[in-house]
Amino acid sequence: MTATTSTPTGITVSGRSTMVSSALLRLARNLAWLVVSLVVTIALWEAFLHVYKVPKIIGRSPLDVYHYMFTAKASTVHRLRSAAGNRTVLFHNLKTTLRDSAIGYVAGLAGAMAVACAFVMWRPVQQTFMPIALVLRSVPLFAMIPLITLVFGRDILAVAVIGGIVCFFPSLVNIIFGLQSASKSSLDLMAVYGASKFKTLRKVLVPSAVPSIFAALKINVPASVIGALLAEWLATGKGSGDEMLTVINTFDYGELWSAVVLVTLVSIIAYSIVSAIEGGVLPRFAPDTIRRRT
Amino acid sequence: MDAGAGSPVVSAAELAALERAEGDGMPSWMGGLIGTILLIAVWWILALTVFHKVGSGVPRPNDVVTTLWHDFGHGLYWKNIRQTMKEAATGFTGAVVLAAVLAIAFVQVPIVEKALLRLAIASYCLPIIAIGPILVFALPGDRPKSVLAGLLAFFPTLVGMILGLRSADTNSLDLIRAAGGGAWAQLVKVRLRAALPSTFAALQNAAPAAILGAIIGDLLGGQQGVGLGIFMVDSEQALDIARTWGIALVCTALAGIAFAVVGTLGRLATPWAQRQTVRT
Repeated sequence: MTATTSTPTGITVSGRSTMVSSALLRLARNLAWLVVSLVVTIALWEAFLHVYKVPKIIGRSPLDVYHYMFTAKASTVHRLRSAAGNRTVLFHNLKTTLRDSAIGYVAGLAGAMAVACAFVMWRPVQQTFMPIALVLRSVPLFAMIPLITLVFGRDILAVAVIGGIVCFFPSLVNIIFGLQSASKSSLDLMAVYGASKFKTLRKVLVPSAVPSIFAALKINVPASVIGALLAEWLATGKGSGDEMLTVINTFDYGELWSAVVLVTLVSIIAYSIVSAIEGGVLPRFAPDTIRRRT
Repeated sequence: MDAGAGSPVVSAAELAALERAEGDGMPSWMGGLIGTILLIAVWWILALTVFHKVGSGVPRPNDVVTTLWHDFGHGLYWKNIRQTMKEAATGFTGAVVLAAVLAIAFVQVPIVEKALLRLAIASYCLPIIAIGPILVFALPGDRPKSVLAGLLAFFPTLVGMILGLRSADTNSLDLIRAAGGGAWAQLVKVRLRAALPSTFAALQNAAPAAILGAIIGDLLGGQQGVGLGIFMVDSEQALDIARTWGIALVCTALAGIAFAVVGTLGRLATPWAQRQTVRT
């Protein structure tokens, strides 16, 4: 997770199997620290409930969430579901949200990658559209969603557009920075051999942007979840994003807290996986950055 | 997150610096001007063609400007702007202070980073839509909105600060060590100064994020009736499309101003940082 874990092992050995195993090792170590973080989180969670005296009807403790998901009994009197029933609902929504996040993630990243390459290869394009991109980034997405649903409907396409927009801007800035950080001597070499723009892009610019691309891949994980929830809440009306706001009105706060826990957990796990892959891949592309970090 | 491990999170100011250094042809403001004119032209054409029927959701730019002028004249905006900016500023300040304390702790005591970095990531992964309503019940007054603003600003700031503290020049650090200084001497004499450029780059992105957070807070639980988010929802529900777009424009402008102000402060505070971003 930190500078110390990405030790120079990856630099000296570059075989594929060692790369994979070192990535797995890193993942395992991350998971161990995850447990420590979990304990701290639970402590802070309990503290939040007690310090601010959150009313019982709204606040749920970690134990309550556990009860909701694993030990709750069905009750016809109080119209409560059993734990299994709760899980079915939660995971059904989570699955939708995961799919929506994945769509936004891919759409945003692909868009950012394409636009970044276009910007770097044709400078006038960048000079004209970069300021627009910076302005659009500050538009509250909420205000645009009615327009987006009008143009793109309330289905997968809207999910892709909303999630894509949320992921697009942070990725764009990072990837452009990475593409422009290619070394001058490599670029000169390509120029001397008369390489085409596309070849230069493929052979020099993209490889030197790998660290920035990974930064984008990581930032995109939470961003894509936020985008998916927004899209579900305001456009599609399906999945956790919609459910979270529906259950507030029905006072089913057990489901709300459980859904928050699940969504957060899944984001962190996805984030860790990207980090672990990054730790395995980065030494091949940017050994300098690793060494500089320690 | 390899937050400490140099994720190249960059700000637009750095990009602009890169561009100026390589600049060929037209000056950068020309491109911006052409882009803005193009954007307004596309908007106008769409409003007149595809979305020309009333209530379609896309008003004409001139209607938006007229409404905006009228609303400002009648003082509809100032109290909302003041309220939202106050919430955003409170959240932003809190987030920056907390991020600074944690960043220093992370860099000075690695074990703290191992235990707490996940939490920082978790704070960024928390679904704002869901915790907004919970916070509204748990915290008094404007506090929930400030917390949301802070949540959006906290993690990017933390990452930028850690990155900056870690980017300190190795030779300088070695010099302090050779002269008998410990980790704290390294922090005070070298790291804090080295952290400034990257910190400002992060703050530049965090300031607009905090404003957006405050607006989202308004949307999720604004009972008080003041704030740009509430204003926007009200005018949207009243089907006053031109006003809704006007408010969105004002929000955009506020975020842009925050971005520009922090960027300028950063350039003034760290004049030496300009040339570092251009790699040779």
